[in-house]
Amino acid sequence: MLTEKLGTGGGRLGVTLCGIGLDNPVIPASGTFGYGKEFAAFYDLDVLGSLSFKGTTRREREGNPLPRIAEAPAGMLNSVGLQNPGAEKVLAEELPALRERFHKPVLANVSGFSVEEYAETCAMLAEDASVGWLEVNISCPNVHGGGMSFGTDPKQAAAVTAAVKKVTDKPVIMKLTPNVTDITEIARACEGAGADGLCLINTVSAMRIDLRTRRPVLKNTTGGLSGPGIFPIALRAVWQVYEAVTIPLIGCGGVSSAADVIEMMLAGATAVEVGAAGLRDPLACPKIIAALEETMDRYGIRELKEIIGGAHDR
Amino acid sequence: MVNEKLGPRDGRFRLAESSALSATVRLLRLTGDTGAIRVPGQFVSVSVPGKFLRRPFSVCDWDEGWLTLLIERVGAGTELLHALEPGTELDVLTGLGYGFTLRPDRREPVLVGCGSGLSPLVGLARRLRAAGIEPKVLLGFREERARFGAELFPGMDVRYAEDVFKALDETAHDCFYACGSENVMTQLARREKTAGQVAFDVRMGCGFGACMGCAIRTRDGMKRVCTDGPVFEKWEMINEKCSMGNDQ
Repeated sequence: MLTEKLGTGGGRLGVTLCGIGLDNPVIPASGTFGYGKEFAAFYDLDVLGSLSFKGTTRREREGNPLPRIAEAPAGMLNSVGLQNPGAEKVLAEELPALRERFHKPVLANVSGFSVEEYAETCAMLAEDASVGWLEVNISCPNVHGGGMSFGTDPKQAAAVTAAVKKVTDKPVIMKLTPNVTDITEIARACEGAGADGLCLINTVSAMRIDLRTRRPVLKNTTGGLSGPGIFPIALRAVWQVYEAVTIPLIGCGGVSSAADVIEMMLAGATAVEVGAAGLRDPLACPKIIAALEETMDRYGIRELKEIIGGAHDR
Repeated sequence: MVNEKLGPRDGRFRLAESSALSATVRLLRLTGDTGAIRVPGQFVSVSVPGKFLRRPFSVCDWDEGWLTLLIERVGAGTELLHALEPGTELDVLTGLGYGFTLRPDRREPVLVGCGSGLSPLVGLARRLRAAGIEPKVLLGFREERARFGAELFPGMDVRYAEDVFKALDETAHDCFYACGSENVMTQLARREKTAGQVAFDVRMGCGFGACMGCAIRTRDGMKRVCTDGPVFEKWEMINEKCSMGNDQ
């Protein structure tokens, strides 16, 4: 069944991500799509290029206390903190259910609190036939002693990359945080350790204060900012990293329209993840995909794969 | 594109009427397709012009072609909704959440609404009466001057209370249906001796189960208020570790 609907990477919208073809470059971002079933109530998931499922850890996590959500001028903050049922339950329950609704390879988003845990969870999830890529989250701003702490130190980022590469032959995509001085340094470290691709960016560290209570809105004090407000930040990160590495990139952060997809690809992205836009409008991804060809026509683009990195001099 | 069989529905609604119930609460009447709403206690998620996130509100009452929302002004989003002129079109997700289960075997229910949490009890009361059950209504307000809403339960036994727990102890009943803040509802579920259901009013992200922004701890593990709730059975909340801001 998987091969039957496997993306070809062909057509006007097709791209190839680390050797696997996608019908189009649009991928719902991890943490905004659960394990797919909520969105299957709104549309046929097979219109998507792929999807990145909820960040999964070795063991179940309850996440942070409420409130975990706050509004922002052009987006939202979350401090969910990697709530997930744990790798065993994901393999036994979520992925079989997802396979009934989505018939293409998916990105398995994995997080952890030690190099060993990352490797173990990746090894487990990589065994599942529906997993096409491992997307290793070393960038979650909402957990302590894990997540982002691996993504802010080039040595640690390289150590996680190398450990995961050892346990699977499937493509390994490292998801990076923008909350660093120089994202290209982390990107080069991951590439040097064998990463097959990079996804950038995760959310931007942020906070809000409630004027009535004079306390932070989020119980966790800080959270991650997502939504259209961070699109230019994500675009800049993709641009810089495209100049620094040769492996393919997934652009993620504030993408809300077909024009944003094209802009992100011109900066150097091979594929694009859509996050907060899909929480505001569950139909955001199918709407973006439906608008791609018309938007390409407007800008004289024949095939999307031709424009990857097209805004750079080289 | 929307799969109508599976619950939530994305639709356009028109604001037909907006009227003040108190200094901080307005009742909005919207017209549009309400076919996805099945039971009281379900909610809608309204796209607010000028805001990124939608705002979730219990359906106060509804029938074919119309629904009402009771909106308390608590921040910038609800302030914008209060200012909307009749005729404004709104993008609304309907049919969200798991609502109240009406129990025809319990003949003496009490409905407990804390503050603007009284909203979904309006549609619930109307349906209980249609089933031949006469509910009592308790409306909890910490301050007398904040009181409103008795007029939404015409012809019923409605009482205001400052201490809703005490008032509940003094009211004969064989089951309860309640709605309010997470904190009060959790306490109520633990105190109450009779069977009942509690609806939680919490901050949400998406409102349809994807973001995990509204998950609370229940007897059976973490549950999303937006899709596993907002209505929960009392017994799901009686463990000491349940809910209460999820403090770990």
